[in-house]
Amino acid sequence: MFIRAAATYALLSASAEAAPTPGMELLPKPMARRMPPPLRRAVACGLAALDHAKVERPDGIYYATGLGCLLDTQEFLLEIERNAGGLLSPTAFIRSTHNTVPGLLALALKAQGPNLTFSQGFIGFHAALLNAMMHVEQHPMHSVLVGASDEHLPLLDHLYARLGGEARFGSAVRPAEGGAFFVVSGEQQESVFRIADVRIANVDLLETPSAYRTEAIQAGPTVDPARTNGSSYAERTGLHQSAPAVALAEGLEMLRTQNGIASLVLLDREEDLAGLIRAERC
Amino acid sequence: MNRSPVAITGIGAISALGTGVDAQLAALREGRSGIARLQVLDLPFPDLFFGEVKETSAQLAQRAGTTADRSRTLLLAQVAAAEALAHARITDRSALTLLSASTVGGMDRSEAFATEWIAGGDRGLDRAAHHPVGDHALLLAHHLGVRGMVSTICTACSSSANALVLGAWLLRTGRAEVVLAGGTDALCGFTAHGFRSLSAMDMQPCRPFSNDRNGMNLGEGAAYLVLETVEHAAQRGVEPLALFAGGANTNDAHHQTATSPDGEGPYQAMSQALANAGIAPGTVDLVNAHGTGTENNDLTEQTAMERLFMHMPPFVSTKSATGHTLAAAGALEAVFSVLSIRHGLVPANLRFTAPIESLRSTPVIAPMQRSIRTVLSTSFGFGGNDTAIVLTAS
Amino acid sequence: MDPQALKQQLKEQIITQLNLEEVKVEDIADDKPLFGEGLGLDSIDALELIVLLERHYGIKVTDPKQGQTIFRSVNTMAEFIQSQK
Repeated sequence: MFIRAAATYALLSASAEAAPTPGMELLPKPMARRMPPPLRRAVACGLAALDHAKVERPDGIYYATGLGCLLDTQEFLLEIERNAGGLLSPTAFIRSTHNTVPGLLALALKAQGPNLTFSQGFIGFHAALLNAMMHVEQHPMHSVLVGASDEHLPLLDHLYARLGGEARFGSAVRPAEGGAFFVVSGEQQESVFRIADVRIANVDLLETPSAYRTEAIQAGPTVDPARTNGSSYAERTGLHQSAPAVALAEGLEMLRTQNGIASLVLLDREEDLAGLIRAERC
Repeated sequence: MNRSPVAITGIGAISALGTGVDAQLAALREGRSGIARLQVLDLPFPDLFFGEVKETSAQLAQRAGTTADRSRTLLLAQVAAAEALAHARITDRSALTLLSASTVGGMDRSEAFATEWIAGGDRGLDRAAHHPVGDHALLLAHHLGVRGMVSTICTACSSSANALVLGAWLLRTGRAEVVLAGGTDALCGFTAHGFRSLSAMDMQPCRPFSNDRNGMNLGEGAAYLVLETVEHAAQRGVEPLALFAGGANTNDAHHQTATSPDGEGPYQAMSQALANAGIAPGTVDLVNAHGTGTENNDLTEQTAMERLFMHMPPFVSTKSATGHTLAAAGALEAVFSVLSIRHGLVPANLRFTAPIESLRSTPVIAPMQRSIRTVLSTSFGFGGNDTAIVLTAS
Repeated sequence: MDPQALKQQLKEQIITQLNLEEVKVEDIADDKPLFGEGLGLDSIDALELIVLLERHYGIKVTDPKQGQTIFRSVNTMAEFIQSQK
């Protein structure tokens, strides 16, 4: 499946708020008012990818998230506590379902095609990619939007500290916010990169990294890089379950600038599940 | 593109109607309702009606042979998924693909401590790791000995219908050998408060498709179906219970929670599903509708059906018996559709009062016996996610 | 409460409750339709306005359909609030 465009954003710490997220100016104003900043960033990123690809309306939207609209989930939990026994404001509840981002994208774009959301930790994005692949296999001329995003809250820092995050991931890897969206199609046209393979399988899959020298292998934070001879991407992407998508977007940039590398393999893991994404120069 | 029907070789279910497929069938035959005030769960809603599973979490755990110290979402899934696998006589689970849907995930256990965690507290932290919605599928896979691909689908109320559509697609493209697809959701404070804040809940037992309907009743449950190619089932010597003939996933793109007034999203989902299945609307014997009982859904859904069908087939909302089981609904109603096909059963749309004023048709109001070969089942969710599936006799 | 002050207060509350970021109090004329063409509010906003009435004025609107008349404009909202005293 050919990649027509990509857009990504990563907020690695609170001070990175100022870093511009692509596509913010593309958000429809009436819609934007009812969207807290993290939600705006995710939807904007999706719109940016489409804008780069000059695709007005995608034929399908496939999305993944690890924890969904965390800010709204938190907000509704607090709303329940603050107003026990009285009327509750429904807005945060409406936005708390995991399919809010692709739902808003469909609304903004009047996109009536297939629209799916997956949530499977670090292996959620792979399911979205796989679905996108199957879509363009069936309809090669279609252009499909596929992406992932995850939010960050101080709550996650608290849980990270209490549940042994630093011991597991190292001190340079911290919970963060980020996302990436790709416009993909079954026809090459001007595409420079393609997704050659997407796999989700039992963890035994991780035992077979590629050995040839023109391939770069990057491992996600839940994969032991030593086992795969790969470098770890989590320091660059930040720690969240949509990091594979961000790593892919950043990896494509790397492929663009490093002529000696012909393909990129991303390896990720979620408990017994392993995921592989291979992107190649066309 | 490969559109060959896919075999359904096993089904499992648990809902307000009871535990197991036989209990569902008996209740549907009798036109029994599972909607009542809370009896088992300790949630602060004495004034509301629910489709509650009348078993404690301890009882559910005992059935599955696991600890009760886990999300009720998972406990329900364990029971239904095990039944489906046993039904399909699956012995080797190593190559199984699991597609499970949920919206609640571990929230039923997280919500007791969540605001404390937000404030920096440490009580109940062991639950936090199991909060993410995808976690239930991993634990379920582990419990069942499933070692293939696992994926959790989250498209709100259309989730498990989408799991079935995706499962069939994986099979047809040779990406899976046997798929266990379905969904699960448990009652919890978060969703009950949420739907109430939307004024979406009826303070009485719901009356889908009635002119005086006033909202939904929240329900809980789980349902799973085993899918494999017809050839694979034949090789294993297992008879299909029914066939998955096709499905479609569309987006209404109208509003985050409301469906467009002319029912365009539902109409597209239904007509595309039938087209994908190669079945004309006139061949549909029964529609198992989404029918939540809300003013918006039932009006727009019935509007869409009347656009689609020149002669309305019998249609029913089984949510009148089970309540709205959110992510489990698509799969639960697929199981009911299989039962309709196998047993010639048209379930009743309970508590129907009078037809919606501007529309022509009325749902089935008492259980009926009749030959059913083709069922259209619909599931429409927040975010405009509209899905319809078509099941046929094998 | 003085009717003008009430309407001013209402406008501020509406802007806050509905997160109407780029809207200022001056942009909401007393008789401007809140729904549809005017301010462009929708059914979710109507529910939020019901919450606003309960939280700030202690008034319970039990039937959301009543909202169509009560929330037509700031004028009708103010009239309704005064009538509930």
